[in-house]
Amino acid sequence: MSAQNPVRSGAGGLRSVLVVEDDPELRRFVVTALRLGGYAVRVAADGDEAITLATEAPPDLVLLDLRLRRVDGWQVLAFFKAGARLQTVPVVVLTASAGQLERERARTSGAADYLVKPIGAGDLLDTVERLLRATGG
Amino acid sequence: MDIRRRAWDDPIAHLYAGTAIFLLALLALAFWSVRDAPPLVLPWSLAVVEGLSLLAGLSVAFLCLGRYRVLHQPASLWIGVAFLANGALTVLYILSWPGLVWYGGILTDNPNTAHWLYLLKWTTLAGGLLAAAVWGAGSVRDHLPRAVAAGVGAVLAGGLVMLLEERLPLLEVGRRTLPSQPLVVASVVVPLGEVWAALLVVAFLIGSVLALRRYRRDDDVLLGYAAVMQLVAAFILAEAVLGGQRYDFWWYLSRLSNIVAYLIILLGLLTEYVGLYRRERDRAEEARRALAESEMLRDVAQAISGSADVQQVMERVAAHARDHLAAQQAGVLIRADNGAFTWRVPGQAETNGHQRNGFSVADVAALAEHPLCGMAPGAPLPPAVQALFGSETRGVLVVPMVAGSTSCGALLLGYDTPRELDERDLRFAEALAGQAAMAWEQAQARHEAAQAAAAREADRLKSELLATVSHELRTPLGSIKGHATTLARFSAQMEPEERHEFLTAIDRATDRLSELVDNLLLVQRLDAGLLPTFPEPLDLAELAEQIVAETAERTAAHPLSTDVPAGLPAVRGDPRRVRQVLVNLVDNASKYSPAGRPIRVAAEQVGEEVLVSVHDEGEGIPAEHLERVFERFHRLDSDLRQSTSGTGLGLTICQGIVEAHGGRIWAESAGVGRGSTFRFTLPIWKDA
Repeated sequence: MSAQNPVRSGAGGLRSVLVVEDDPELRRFVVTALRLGGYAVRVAADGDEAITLATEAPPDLVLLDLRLRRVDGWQVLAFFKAGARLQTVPVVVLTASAGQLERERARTSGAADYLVKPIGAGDLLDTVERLLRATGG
Repeated sequence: MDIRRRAWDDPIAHLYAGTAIFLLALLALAFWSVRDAPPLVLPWSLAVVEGLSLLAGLSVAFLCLGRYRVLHQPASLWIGVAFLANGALTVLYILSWPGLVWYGGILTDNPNTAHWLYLLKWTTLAGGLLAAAVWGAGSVRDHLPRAVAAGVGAVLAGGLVMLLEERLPLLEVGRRTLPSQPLVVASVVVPLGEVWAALLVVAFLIGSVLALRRYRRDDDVLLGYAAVMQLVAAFILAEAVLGGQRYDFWWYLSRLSNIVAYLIILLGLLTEYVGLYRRERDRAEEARRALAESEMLRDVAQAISGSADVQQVMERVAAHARDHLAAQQAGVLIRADNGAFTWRVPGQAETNGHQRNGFSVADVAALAEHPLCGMAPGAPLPPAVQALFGSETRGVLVVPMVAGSTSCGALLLGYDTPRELDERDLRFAEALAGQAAMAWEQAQARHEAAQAAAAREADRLKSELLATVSHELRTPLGSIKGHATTLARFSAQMEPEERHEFLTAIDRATDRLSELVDNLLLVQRLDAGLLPTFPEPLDLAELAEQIVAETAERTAAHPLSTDVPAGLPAVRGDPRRVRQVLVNLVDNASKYSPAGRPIRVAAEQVGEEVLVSVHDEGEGIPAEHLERVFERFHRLDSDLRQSTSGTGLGLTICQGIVEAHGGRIWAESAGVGRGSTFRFTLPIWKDA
C-alpha cells in the first residue's frame, strides 16, 4: 500500500492524508478521490496500523472512521491529541453514526470536523482543502 | 349439645355434683336414722359422719398448710393449724364418746369428758378462723410461732381434759344427755356448757363477718368459704344451746352439719386449686398457641422474603390457617393481573374449572360480607362456597385480603361441622391474610417494576435498532454516494478499469442495501408470523458449493471447506430461504473468527432429517449466550464486534426460516476462544 501511496510531505511536495477506514468499498472511493484531488494518500485498515503509520511520518490530515477493529477510532483520536508531535494534525471523523452525542464527543476530543456518511467526493475534498488551508499546510 | 358437653368436661361441675349427691345421701341417712322413735342407742351413721368429718378436717388442714407454704399468708396458716389441732381433738373426742364406737367409749366412759372435748375442738376452730379473719393476707413473720403455739396449746388442753376427767366441772350441753347415759344429774346452777356454746356462737358470727369483710377486701376465696363455714358452725352450736332434750331430726342435722361445715371450706380450697390448675393449663396452652402462631407467621414471612412466587406464599398461608384453626379444607382466591380471581388449594397443583376461577371482585366482596357463613346452625351456605369446597362443607370462614385499598384475594377455611371460632382465632386468620396480602402487594410491585424494566429495555432495543439500522444503511449509501460523486468529478482522469471498478462497487452497494431492506422486511414478517416458503427438493451439496463460491470474496480471509457426502438425500426446503440461512451462518462465522481460521460447512443424514452445521474456529460463544444469540438484536460483545457489521437480525432470521421449514437450529461452543458450531436440521424430501 505504501508503495502505491508514496510519502511526500512538507512544502513543495504533495500534502499527505492518512485514511483510516475498515470498509474496503468506502476506502477505495476515499483514496481515489483524494489521489485525484491531488493529495498523497496513505491507508490504514485499523487503529493499530493508523498509529504505526502516523508515528513513522506524521500526515498533514487524518480521515478517521470511528468503528475499527481492535483499537477503535476514539483511541486513535486520543492518541493523536495526546502526542505533542501529532497534536496539530487535523483529524476529520468520518462515520456512519449521525448521533448528536457522538458528534459532541468528537468535538470535545479534538476532532477538526465530523463528516457523516454518505458523503460525496466534492464535500470530502472541500473539507480536506479547507482544513489544510487553515493549518497552513 | 355443645354447652352440655362442656359442662360435663368441667371438673368444678363434677365437684359440685359429687358434693350435692353426697349431701343428699347424708340427709337420706339422717331421715332413715330417725324415721322410727328416737333410738336409745346411737345410730351407727354418726360414727361414719364423725369419721368423714375427721378426714375432711385433716384434708382442709393439709391443703391450707400447703397453701401457706406457697402464699406465706397468715389466714392459710391459722386455718391450717386450727384444723390440724381440731383433727387431733376430734380423734380424742371420737375415742372418748361413749357408745359411738364402743360401749362406754374407748378412752373413757365419762360423757362429761366427751362434752369438754367437743366444745374444746369447736373453740380451737373458732379461734383459728377468727385469727385468720383478723390477720388475713398480711405479713406472716410473727404468726408462725404464735399459730404453732396456739395449736400445740389446744392439743395439750385436750390432753389436760383427759387427765383431769372427774375433777372437771360438769357440762350440760342442751340439758341433754346422751342416749346411752340417760341419768346424768342436772344440778349445776350455772349451765356452763350452754354459756360456753353461746360464746362460741358469738365468736363464729363475729368471725364470719370479719372473714366476709376480709374476703371482700382481699378477694381471698379461702376466707369467703370460711365465712360460710362459720355460719354453719354457729348453727351447730346454737342448736346445742337451744335444742331440747329430744334426740330429734335437728340434733341429727346439727351432727351432719359438722361435715357440711368442713366440706364447705374443703370445697373452697379444691375449687381454688382446680381454678389455679386450669389457669395454669390455659396459660400453657396459650403459650403453646402463641408460639405456634408466631412460628407460622415467621414461616410465612420467610416464604415471602425468600420466594418470588406469590402463589406459593398464599398456599402456605392457607395450609397454616387450615392446620391451626382445625379446618378440613382451605384455599385462597388470588387476584390475577386481569382482575379475576383464581382458586388455589395447598398441595394441589392446579385447580381448573370455570366455576372455581371465574370469581370477580364483586363475588369476593360478597363472600367477605359473611365471614362466618354456615357456622350458625341451619344457616345456608352460599352456592359459591359450595362450588369451592364441595357440598360436604357445612361452615366456612372467609378472611378478605386487602392490600392498600385493593382487594387482592381471600382466605377460605372449610369445616365439615360448624365450629365456634373465638376472637383470637379470627385475629390469627386475619394476621395470616395480612401477610398474604403483603406478599401479593410485593409481587405486584415486583411485577410492575419488571414490566417497566421490560418496557424500558424494549424502548432501548428499539432505539438501538434504529441507530444500528441507520448505521447499516449509511455504509452502503456512503459507498454509492462516494463512488458516484468521484466518478462524476474525476471521470476524465480515471482509467477505464478504474471507472468500471467504481461502477461495480456502486452495484454491490445497492445489492447490499436491498438485502438489508429485505432483512428488515423479513424480520417484520417473522414478527407477524407470516413467512411464505416455497419448498422443493433441495440438493444441499450443490447449494453448499454455490455458497462457497458466492461468499468467497467476503470470506477471503478464511479457508472455506464443505463436507457434504455424496448421495445425501434431498431436503424439503425453499432454496432461497435455505441459502439465506447458510450464507448468514457462513458470514457470521467469518465475522466472528480471526483471519486465517478455517470455516467448515458440513451436512449429514440423521434419522429422517439432514443435519447441517457451520463450524468456525473463532472466538466461540459463552455458554450463557448460546440461546440468546438467536434473540433479535442480540450481538456478542466481542473484540471483533467493533468491525462487524450487521443488523443483529441474521440469526433471528435463520431461526425463523428453519422453524418455518419444520427444523430446529441451535448453537454449540466449547467455550470462549474455542470456536463455535451452528447446527440446523431440515426434513428429508418425501414425494407425496
